[in-house]
Amino acid sequence: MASDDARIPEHDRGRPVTLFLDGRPCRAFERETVGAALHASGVRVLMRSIKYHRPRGLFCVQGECASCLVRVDGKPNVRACMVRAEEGMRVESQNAFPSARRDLLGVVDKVYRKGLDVHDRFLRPRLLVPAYHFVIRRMAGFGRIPDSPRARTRPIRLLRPDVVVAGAGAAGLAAAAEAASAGRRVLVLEAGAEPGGFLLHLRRPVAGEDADGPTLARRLAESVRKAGGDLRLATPAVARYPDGVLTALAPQGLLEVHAPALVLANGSQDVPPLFLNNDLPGVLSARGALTLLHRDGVRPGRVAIVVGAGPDADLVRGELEAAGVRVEAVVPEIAAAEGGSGVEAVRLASGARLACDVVVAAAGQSPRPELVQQAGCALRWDEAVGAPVPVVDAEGRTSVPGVWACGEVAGAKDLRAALEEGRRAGRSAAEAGGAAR
Amino acid sequence: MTTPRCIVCTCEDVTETELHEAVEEGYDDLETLKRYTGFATGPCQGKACVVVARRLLARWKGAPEGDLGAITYRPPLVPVPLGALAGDEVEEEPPREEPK
Repeated sequence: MASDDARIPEHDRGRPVTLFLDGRPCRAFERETVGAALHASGVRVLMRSIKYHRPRGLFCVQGECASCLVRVDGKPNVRACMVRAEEGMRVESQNAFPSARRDLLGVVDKVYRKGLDVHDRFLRPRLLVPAYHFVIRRMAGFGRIPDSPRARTRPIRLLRPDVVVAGAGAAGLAAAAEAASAGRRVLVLEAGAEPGGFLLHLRRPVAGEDADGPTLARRLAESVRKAGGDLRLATPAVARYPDGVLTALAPQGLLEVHAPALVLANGSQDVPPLFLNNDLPGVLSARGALTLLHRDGVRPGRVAIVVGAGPDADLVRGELEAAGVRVEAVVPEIAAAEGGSGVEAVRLASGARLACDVVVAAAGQSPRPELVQQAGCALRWDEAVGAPVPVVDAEGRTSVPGVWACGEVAGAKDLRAALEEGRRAGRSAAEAGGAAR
Repeated sequence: MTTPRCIVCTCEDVTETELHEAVEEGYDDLETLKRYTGFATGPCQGKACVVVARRLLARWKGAPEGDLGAITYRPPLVPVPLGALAGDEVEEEPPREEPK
């Protein structure tokens, strides 16, 4: 069911293109992601889950959760939320037959109602074990080998900046601007298509500044570039190795960064919600809904229930309503989402049912732990944040020489703190970054 | 309608019930729980589920979350095509002063 209602009219989405989903044409735009285009066309079921073949679709909308894996132009396991639509693009369902929408193996979810514990199944009778394996092997795994499996090698680019900043959100941009103004060669790596991180979702004037989030992000990015900083977008970090080397994946290939100073500012991500059927298409994280709205210009649905409380829930509700989505209720928790191939209602603990077609879960954020751990930083438990954060001093220095941390990844509680921590870390890294050479 | 399940690890389809049963069987620390149930071993490599699993584990064991540690996050943190790893190393020019 194609519907242009979901697309927010004023959004700049480029020229129209046609992509094909399982052979059927689907309208899209060149600056939309495949996931957004399909969502706008009413296609919410993008894949089936590995074991139970449950319908899945967009959740985080920023390339982290793997609920939107599709096959694109013969390549498996592509995150629909991160790849832009192109004319003639062939998108195919994975782990489903004949399609994600109508998957014959969906019976697995219906049959194993009490769960499927692989440890004590398919062992008897022994005579049938080879037959079990034959079937299971064909059902296991994510995706199929690419149509053209010959790998195209791309050169690995070696970069040697004075300071490398992981993340171009508020803290990262503030750090990069300081370090660059101090005369250091600064490289900033950002996984998103635009700099700004969560700033991009703050559409009202932000506290203490005279501009909204996107404007502030633009200003900060400009100041980084004006000072000679090198800002690389769509370039997520791949790893930080014990010898100090950091690798990242740019669109043209791998970057291998050798820098005496590393500033970790890669922020936090939403914590997924816990309720029955929390995996149904139409259940989005708060950032997921905001990204779909702001980055892709697509309304997540017509009628929303926001699950959560506090400023995050308020922000999400405000943005949804501003985009024309009716927010039926904001509730601290729900017992279950209900629906067949997508959310149709929620059930509260009281037993009451509320009809809706999107559930936005604002269950809080958690600092991204991976780079901090790989860098070997000492951690402390932050009760307010509910997660481990790196131990840092007033300048943002972690326990590892040459590594700083600032912003939400270090447990910053608000934008003000993120900007301040970023500036301090940038200044400190600039002082150290030159000396170490 | 889908069978009502509370999914903790969406990548590997590990439900809250399955996690709880594993903990009852004695797999009560993050690392062994991960190896037994498979949570955090799928395409997202724990980005979405470790925080949730730790909170549940803390609740079931009556232990503070801060004592439960973490899993080890291995490279790569995002999927990387083999071709990107197989290329020759090339020095890049230092970035130019003027903005693009």
